[in-house]
Amino acid sequence: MKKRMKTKTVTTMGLLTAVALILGYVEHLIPISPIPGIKLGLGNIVLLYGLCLLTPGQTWMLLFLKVGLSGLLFGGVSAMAYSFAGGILSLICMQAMKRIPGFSLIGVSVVGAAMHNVGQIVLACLLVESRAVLSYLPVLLVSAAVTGALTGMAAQLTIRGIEKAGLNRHKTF
Amino acid sequence: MKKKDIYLVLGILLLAVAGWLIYGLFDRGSAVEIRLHGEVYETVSQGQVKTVIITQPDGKENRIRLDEKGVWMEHSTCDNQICVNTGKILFDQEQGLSLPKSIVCLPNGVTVELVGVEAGE
Repeated sequence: MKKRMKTKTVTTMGLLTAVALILGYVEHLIPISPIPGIKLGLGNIVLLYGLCLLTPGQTWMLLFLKVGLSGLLFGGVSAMAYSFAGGILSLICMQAMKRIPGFSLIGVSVVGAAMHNVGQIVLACLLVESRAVLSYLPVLLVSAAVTGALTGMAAQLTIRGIEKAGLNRHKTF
Repeated sequence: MKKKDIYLVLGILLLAVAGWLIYGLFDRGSAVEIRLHGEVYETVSQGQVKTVIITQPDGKENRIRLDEKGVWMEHSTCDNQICVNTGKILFDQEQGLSLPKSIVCLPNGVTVELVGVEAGE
């Protein structure tokens, strides 16, 4: 039995997709490094929000919307492929991480950021068929540990604020 | 932030440092291996002064220069220019561990890597 999506769900998804796209765009404007892959990963805040307050299916939908649309708008085909490789591995690992007790959202975020980079490097290795690309991994892991912790904190504050304001009622859908 | 989170971050940092050391310390080569889409395009041994130009049918071009000390990407038609910005990679470790050992141009599928003579055959 397939239920139609509630209006509220549609609205929430649209809103969150827009937020993810804007964050991705803002990120483009902040050049922190010439190496792609080293970035703040602000878009991940939205996925962390999804992990906490949406169903897994909705979170996956958010990922595909975010990667697909930002690829069309800003990136291009190859950028989209890399984002998918990183994003899919990242989300699988974050969902697993969420179930392990003892970690806060910051831990989940750090794992997500690290796995995002691992996914991209693996795809790069497959595409170029060379292990030379692997030499970037240590640098990317260090940056993931830092940026992942930062975005995790941002997500934690956001979610806390939203819960405080009582705006998380879509939890019930 | 919980205690386990901090251990996790430290663990990842440790892993990165370990990977860095293994790659940077023990595996510096005496030849340059240039690959195009994974297949060896040309291997040049240390000491030769040479310019290698890789032109692909679709107009992509990479110009790689070698001298006695190292190798660098002088020109590339790719859009991100990461390969060119990598700068010169050296056979000797005189500049320390922070030095990369490879130049990668993902858009054009070209990699330049220092390899041992036996690995380059």
